[in-house]
Amino acid sequence: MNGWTGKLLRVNLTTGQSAVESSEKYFDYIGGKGMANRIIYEEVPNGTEPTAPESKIVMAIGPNTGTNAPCSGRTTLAFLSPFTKYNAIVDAHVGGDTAVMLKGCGFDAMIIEGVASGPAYIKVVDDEVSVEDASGLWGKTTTETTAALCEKHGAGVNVMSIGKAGENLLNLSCVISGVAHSAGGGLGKLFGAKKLKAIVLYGKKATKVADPKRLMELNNYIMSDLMGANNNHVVPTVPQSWAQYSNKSTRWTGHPGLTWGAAEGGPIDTGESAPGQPTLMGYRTQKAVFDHGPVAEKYTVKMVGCTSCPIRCYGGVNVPMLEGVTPNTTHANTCIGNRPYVGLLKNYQDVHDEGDGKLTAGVYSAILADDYGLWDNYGELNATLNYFINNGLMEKIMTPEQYNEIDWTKRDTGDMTFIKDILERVVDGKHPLSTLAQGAYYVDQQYHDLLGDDYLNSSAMTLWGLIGAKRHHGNECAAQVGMLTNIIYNRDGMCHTIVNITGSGLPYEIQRNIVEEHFGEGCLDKPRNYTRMNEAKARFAKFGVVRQVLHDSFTLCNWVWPMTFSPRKERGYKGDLSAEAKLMSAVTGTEWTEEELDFAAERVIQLHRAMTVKSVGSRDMRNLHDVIPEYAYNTEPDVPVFTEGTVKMEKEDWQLALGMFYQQFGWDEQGSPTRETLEKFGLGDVADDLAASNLL
Amino acid sequence: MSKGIMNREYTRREFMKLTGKGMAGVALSSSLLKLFDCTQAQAESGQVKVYPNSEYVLVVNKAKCTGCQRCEVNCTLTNDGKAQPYLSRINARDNFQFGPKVSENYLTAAGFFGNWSVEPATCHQCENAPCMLACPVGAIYPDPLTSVRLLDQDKCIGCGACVAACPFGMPKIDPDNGKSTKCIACGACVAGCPTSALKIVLWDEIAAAM
Repeated sequence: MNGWTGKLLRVNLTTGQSAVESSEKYFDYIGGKGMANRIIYEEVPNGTEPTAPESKIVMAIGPNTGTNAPCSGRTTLAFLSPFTKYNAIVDAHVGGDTAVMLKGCGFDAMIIEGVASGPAYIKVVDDEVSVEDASGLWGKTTTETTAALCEKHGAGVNVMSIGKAGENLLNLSCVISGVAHSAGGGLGKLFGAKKLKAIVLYGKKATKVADPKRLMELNNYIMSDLMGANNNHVVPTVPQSWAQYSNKSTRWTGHPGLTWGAAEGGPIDTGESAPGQPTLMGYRTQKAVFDHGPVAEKYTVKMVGCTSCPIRCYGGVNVPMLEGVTPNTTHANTCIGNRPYVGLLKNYQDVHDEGDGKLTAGVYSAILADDYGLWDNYGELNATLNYFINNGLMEKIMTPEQYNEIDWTKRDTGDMTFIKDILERVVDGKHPLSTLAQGAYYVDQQYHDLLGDDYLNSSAMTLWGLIGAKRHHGNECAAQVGMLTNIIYNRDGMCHTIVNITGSGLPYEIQRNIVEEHFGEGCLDKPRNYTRMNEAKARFAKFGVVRQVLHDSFTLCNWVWPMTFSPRKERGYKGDLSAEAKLMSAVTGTEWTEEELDFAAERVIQLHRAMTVKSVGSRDMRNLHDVIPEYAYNTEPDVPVFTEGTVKMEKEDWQLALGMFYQQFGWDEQGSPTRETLEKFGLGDVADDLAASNLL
Repeated sequence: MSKGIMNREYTRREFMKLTGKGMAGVALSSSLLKLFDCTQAQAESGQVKVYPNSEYVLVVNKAKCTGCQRCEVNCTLTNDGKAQPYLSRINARDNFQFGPKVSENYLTAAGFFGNWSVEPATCHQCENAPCMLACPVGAIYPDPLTSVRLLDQDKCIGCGACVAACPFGMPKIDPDNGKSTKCIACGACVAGCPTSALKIVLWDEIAAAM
């Protein structure tokens, strides 16, 4: 068998037993998210409490995982959300080494069920599967846990583990893989509820591919002709000898004179790496500088990232200012993970250079959060903590003694230990501050008398939806298109298909002309100069989520894929949207077209939507699920909607947008899949299921 | 033996005299530094490791290695027709987190959990190759032109003598075909490195730079 392994592993923590089963019946769902969602659908009854013994966790990879296709080292974990309204299906996506190791063990998926009698970890080394005692690890940080298990089972094993946040059953908890690769969505709580401290993976088996020569040629084509930098930004930030354009906002930050300043043996210049130089493309993204600012250059050791990825988006820094403050002075992460709680401080204490105080506090908070296994929910936890502080609510949720224990002046003076003062109480599990790590919906439920309707609707929170999910590239990105990509999910959207286009660095006219070829005139508005909804935008938004789901199932990294654009002028900057289908064909030996692969990905979306309808318990998704907060309509109050200078939405237009989006997927006016649509995708059993629940 | 090979052999011996037990502490000419794409400080601090064979020098720059492991799968796609890092003739997967083993001071030692230094292990193409000497059927043999130790897959019986003999733990026996995965210096690992942490430098180029 090529691509897939054809096997899935079932581990029961209650009995300590495991079983190997065929995974072939799930191939219609590609793998990864699709496979994991279908297994949850079949095996976890609707209405199950996420932390109940009957609840399950499914981690899955796809036919492309482990083939060395660029950015194919991603794993998807599916489970019921503990932190958003309706406790519907969510996915966590994690990189690092996990995906390749699971494939090497010979499995497309692992189903984790039951509850261990005491702290336990799962060890999978090829075919050898066991549930081991983790009593000695409970209470340890994720770093300590990983080191202990690597010492015991080999320095190269992959370890996924939880910290205090998961152990203490916080909704906003994650699982950390290796260094700083986080599987969020509240997964840490599900691990904690199952007494599952960690998973150890080490695999030696092959991923068989039908045509290795074609695959290697494709990899070279993708890296030479299609890929740019992180988020597939195809324009460098500063002018380069080969480049027609430059754009200060992109992630192609590497350029002559910018270095990995703290590299062993002296700075390494990131230089020029023109298209067609795949052996230099790892220097294109100097992510530490992008995330922390120019001051980070001299502390940058190197870029790191996931297995098989040539982009390297994790900025690895060594911050000597943390000597004696944290167990180690090095850390790497990307985007918000580099500075998750730095916003708790009003000021920063610079030591040597302007800006190094903020850098130090950012890395400090990242080290703490990862060791606790605390999930920031794309900044929501930080926003909630600040919301309560700024609105004088902390005094109301704590006793006077608890409140006075905290030195709040540190926040004003920029003493970064304030972050630890807060976070150690958050992860405690019993302290009132722990209640702020439930996710915005449950925070609102508990404190609605204090919060009224303002909190969930506030621009300080920037949720995409009142179910308590954070906006993750929404209306600030291509207007209705960006916001629509969020509503599919029961957590933050994480769709990067669209933002990779708008952030590519290419002039707007080039972006528009290329995407209009695919989706029609009017699909892409000018930044902050939006027009009313139209059908082309609905097609564009659908493409965004279809490709995201394809990537989470195949697997590929949607933080880079798809290849909509190219950095090559001679291609007219056009990418190749059939690249995934070409990879699928080379790997599996069956010829796939772009349309066929998109259809398979859409099947996964249809299933996901039907599962969400079941969890909501109503067909009226328009009014119960797909509801965006008031701030989206009220932002920039002095600028009229649909004029230059605002990203605000309009209520009537949003309802129009929802209707057009639903039509694209074959859903009814309420946003629920019809029988005809479900049967078109071979989901007749799901239609019957919905009908039996009066949801069709 | 051709004049070219004699010159190459002379250069190799001179280079070996220069680098001896490694690159740390070796003063390299600016031409060699340029050729190896490294700095004197990197060489002196032990970040640069060289694997000379009869054909070329494989330069491994630990400061540039980002642990992506693309080298490993490029190796097995090229040589084994499948993606199987375990069989790879270059190995970063087992040491990128902590170095070869977890030490007490792992937070400051090699690897992602420490100082980020990553050293992929690979075949040394030893002059008196223990794998070649151990092979009971002569399946590992020196290339008559380059002296690189090659593998005759038809002769290999998969006995594992090369695996046991290699002091660096590099060859494996492919469970699918029962053949050794002894490195044949094909260079696929180098071609796939996105930060040029791996580099092949030919002896002729070194001769010109020395």
